[in-house]
Amino acid sequence: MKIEGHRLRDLVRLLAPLFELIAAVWALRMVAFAAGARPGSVWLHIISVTVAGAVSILLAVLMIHHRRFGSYPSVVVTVFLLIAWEELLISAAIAFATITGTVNVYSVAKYSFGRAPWHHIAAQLTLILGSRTILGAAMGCLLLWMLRRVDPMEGQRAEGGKRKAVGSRS
Amino acid sequence: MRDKLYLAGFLLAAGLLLYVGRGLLERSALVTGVLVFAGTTAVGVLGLTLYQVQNQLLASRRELARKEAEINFAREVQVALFPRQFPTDSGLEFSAVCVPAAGISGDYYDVLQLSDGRLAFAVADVSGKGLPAAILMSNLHAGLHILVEAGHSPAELCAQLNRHLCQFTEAYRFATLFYAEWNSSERCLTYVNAGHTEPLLVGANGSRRLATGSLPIGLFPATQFHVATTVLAPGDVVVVYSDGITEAGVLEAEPFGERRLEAVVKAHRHQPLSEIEREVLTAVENWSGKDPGDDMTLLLVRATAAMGEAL
Repeated sequence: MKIEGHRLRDLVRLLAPLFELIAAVWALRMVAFAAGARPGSVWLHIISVTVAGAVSILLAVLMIHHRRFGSYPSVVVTVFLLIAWEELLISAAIAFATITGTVNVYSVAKYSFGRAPWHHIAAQLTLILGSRTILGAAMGCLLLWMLRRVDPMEGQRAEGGKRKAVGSRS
Repeated sequence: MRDKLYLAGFLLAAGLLLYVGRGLLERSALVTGVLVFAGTTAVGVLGLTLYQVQNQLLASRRELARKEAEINFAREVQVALFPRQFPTDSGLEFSAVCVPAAGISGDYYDVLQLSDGRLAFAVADVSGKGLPAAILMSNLHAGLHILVEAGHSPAELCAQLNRHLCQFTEAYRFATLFYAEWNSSERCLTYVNAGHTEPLLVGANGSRRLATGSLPIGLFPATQFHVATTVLAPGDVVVVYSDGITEAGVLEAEPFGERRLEAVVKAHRHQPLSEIEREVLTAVENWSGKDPGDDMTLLLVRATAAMGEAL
């Protein structure tokens, strides 16, 4: 599969540090919970996979623009990959807690709204993945559009740079 | 086309997932996502806006530095157009200064010792200030030198310069010019005043203005230029100046004016010309403040005693 001339594998390679960032925040959130931070506490508000996902989209747009790695279609695919990775990690944590009979930050009732674990996983992989992909795509495309206006790369520059002729004759 | 299909496919899939999962969680879960993404977008937009402002600031600074470098270069070129030294054995002595208002000047002074023994001097004031005026000034300089060397009379020289400027400049660009030729054997000054401020002649018997005048050059191609002559006694001082001197301070209150200029020159008439020049500039500066609002040019000419002649 190629998007704007780039293979999906290359896109994943470009985004690898962002996948790592999301995974790190995901793990840190679990550690914070295990260390005693409770849902609603300041620490768990700060160490948020949702925030990490949003920040990753912001950074991905910057990378795509500066490395000339495609345009809006690449941004949408990137957003989908990052959010899907985020939701997979959360779903895996909920599944692990359910299978092992333990509790972690992702399986607590506050975040599942009291629904059954499998119901919660389904919600993460449908409602949350879908909504955040749409939100993230809108955000990413808006930022890319602005970035192109603020910092146009070669080939994207307007015609304003043309020099005026002086003393030309016809 | 395929990329657009991917784009539509991914967004459609996201919409489908959203539809399938509707009702699986409370709306507050969606609100959290909306708030986080909206907040991040706001931060991103703010960051980009600041980046844009910083870029514009840097671009402005670079542009300013480039223009300053250009003006410095133009100033160097212009300085080279002014005479480096004045003739000493012609029966006249000179002192001159040009203070630009905008780095470079549209004013011009020159003293030309010609190969046939004639001596000429000129002061011109090109309309406007800064670079456009300086370009026209250099054009005037070149034209004047060529025409003087060709041996034209003062009136013919001004007429040719006038036609040249009319032909090659816009209608609103013109220059005032005072041009004079000195005949040392007859101690006679022959001059044309093309719209320039009337030079002041200060001598032992008082002072008067070299008032005979014509229109500035560059306005009308058919302008007639009137020639006048005057005899200079030893010690007479001719003060040729641009309106930047007499109109200094006009924006603040009263202009410096011809009367004050005349008073300063009269008071220091017997001093060296460079001293008179310094006194005039100091008086103007004291009157109007440090920065000149217009280009200021002052050419002082003193008739010296001929060999064996006492002052």
